[in-house]
Amino acid sequence: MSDPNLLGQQVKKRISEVLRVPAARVQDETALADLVTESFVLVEMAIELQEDLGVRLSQDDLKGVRTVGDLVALIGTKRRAA
Amino acid sequence: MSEQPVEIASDERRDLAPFDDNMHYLLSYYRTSEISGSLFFGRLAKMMRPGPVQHDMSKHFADEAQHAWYWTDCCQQLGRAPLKLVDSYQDQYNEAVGVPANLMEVLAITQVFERRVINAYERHRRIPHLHPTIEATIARIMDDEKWHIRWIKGALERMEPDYGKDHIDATIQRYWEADKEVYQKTMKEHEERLEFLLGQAAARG
Repeated sequence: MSDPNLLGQQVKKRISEVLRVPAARVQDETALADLVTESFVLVEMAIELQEDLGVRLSQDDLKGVRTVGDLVALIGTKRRAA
Repeated sequence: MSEQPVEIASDERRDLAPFDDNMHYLLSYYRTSEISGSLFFGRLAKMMRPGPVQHDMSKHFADEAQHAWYWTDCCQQLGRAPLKLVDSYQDQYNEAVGVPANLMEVLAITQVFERRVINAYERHRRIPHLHPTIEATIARIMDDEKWHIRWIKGALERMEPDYGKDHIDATIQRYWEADKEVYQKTMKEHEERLEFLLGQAAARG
């Protein structure tokens, strides 16, 4: 999948499903801290996204990620590099 | 259904380390930490694809749930219900070390964490005149904890072709270094209570 919009939609859909939050709440500018209330859930979400999208993320990669848009951009970069 | 109470002669009972507030707190803390571990691994096991990791992680979370029951029952047998505690070792640990982002990192941090747990139980076991019910509970848990280290080690070895042995070793090393710092900062209350019990027992002879 090379279309960034399509990737963004897919990532947001999975975040909404894994975190069980309404899709409308998952926007590019939404802070992940506002969606994820505990660290265990963040681990779950990161692993689910990797399994679904075929990318590998590390703790270091996630250090600079603050928003959903940051995460979509990171996954896009990882996929292009793969 | 409770475990069979350990039989103790009345003259032996007099010498036992008391089930005081410190001991009560520590056992309750172990219970809460086992519950947190079980819930975490249970959730991970639920989303794992079929395979050896799914299999072993399922046993791991079942063990930790069982351990929480052992501590619950142990406290009850000693005459007090476990305390309701909010924080567990895992919560404090993740906050301080950072959140792992892939399965290899989860297993690497767990390996370091499990060794820390074994160490904490070993130290508790060294309290002189420890109540046999507590001693028996720790002994049962330790067998499982040693298996946890083994399965995680094996799983990490199987991940070497994907992640690279050097990268896995470096990740474990990074978590070891973080662990030393975290333990000093987050486990202060736990340490103080354990030290108090060890000192108290030594003073009693």
